[in-house]
Amino acid sequence: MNAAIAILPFGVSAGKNLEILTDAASAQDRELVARAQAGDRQALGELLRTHGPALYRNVLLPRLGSEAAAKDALAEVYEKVLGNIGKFVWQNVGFYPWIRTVALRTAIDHLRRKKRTVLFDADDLEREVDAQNTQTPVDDKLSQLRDARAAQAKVEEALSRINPRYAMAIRLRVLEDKPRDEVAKTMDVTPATFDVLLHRALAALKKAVKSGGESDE
Amino acid sequence: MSDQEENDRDEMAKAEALRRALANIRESHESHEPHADPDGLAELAESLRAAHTPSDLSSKDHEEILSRALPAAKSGAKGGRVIRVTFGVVSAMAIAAGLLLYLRPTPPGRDPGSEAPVAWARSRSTTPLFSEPWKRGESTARIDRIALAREHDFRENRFNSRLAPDRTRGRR
Repeated sequence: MNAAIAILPFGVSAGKNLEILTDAASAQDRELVARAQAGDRQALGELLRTHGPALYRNVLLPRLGSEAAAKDALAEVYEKVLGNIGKFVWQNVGFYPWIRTVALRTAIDHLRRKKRTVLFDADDLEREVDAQNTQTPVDDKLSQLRDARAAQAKVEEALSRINPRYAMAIRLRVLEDKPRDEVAKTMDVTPATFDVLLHRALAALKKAVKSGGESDE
Repeated sequence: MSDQEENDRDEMAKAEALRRALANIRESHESHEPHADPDGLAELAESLRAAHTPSDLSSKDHEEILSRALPAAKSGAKGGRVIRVTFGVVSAMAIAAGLLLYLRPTPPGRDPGSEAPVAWARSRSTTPLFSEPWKRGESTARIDRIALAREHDFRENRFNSRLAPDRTRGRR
């Protein structure tokens, strides 16, 4: 990838740059996939080192909602890749879309197995897997960016279903991780009252997420 | 105490529990200990944060996951190197041994061209084995004597062929 950056000529457009970079990365992936399919574990390890962190950050962690669950799921994805790399057929979109689908399916299993209170549910992920089948190669090349934005949009959409004051409390304290006292001051309440406000806000959000519609509060 | 006051007190207790649970989430990431969160609200808050601003996976954690899922990824590479080195060493030794045999110097005082030819046991009649006429009923002893003589010739020939294979080639 760095080598590809080094040889980029001046005056090449950003879109063209992205295309050159992704093509260089794809060529490298293709070689690693061929070696991995021939039984080279080191090549498979390189592939997973390249794509694993992005898969964790953009797909598994946002959808499973906790670091521990996302790490367990990532290990499971790697085991599935190890067992099925021979079935992978190279297409012009590269390796990432395939491993992303494996990750989504693994996340679906996790969400169904453990009834945790998280933002995404298994049906959301089923829809994402279905959408993957109708995507164009360009969509696939941009899927990492799209996944990160989709998760943020899901948060915003959930917050839009509750009282704006509750949404503000959650945004400042949970999403922006501001200190409790500072947020209480911003919202013009005492810290103890803010605790009650945040409790009500998260309870309303939980209700809205579970019902799939707008909260009563 | 009125119902309202009781509800308020109950809600304040839950709010305080949530505050502690939210504070513990980060610590529990390090210790992997479960935090008290009966309503699942702290879990929901954690899920929101993970979806909105997901953290990166540390390279140490990633390597740990990789080694758990692909135990042979590292050891396989080492094994491959060991096999290649062993194969190289054995090949080199075999080539050296072959070369040594080919270039083997003749022992001092021994000229390969001047060595005496090996004396082979020739096919011959059995008559010299029996200087006196056989009596009736001695056929077994007669056959034994022939067999012993042939066995002796065979041993001699075999010994000669091992002792000087280059000189016996093409003479049989």
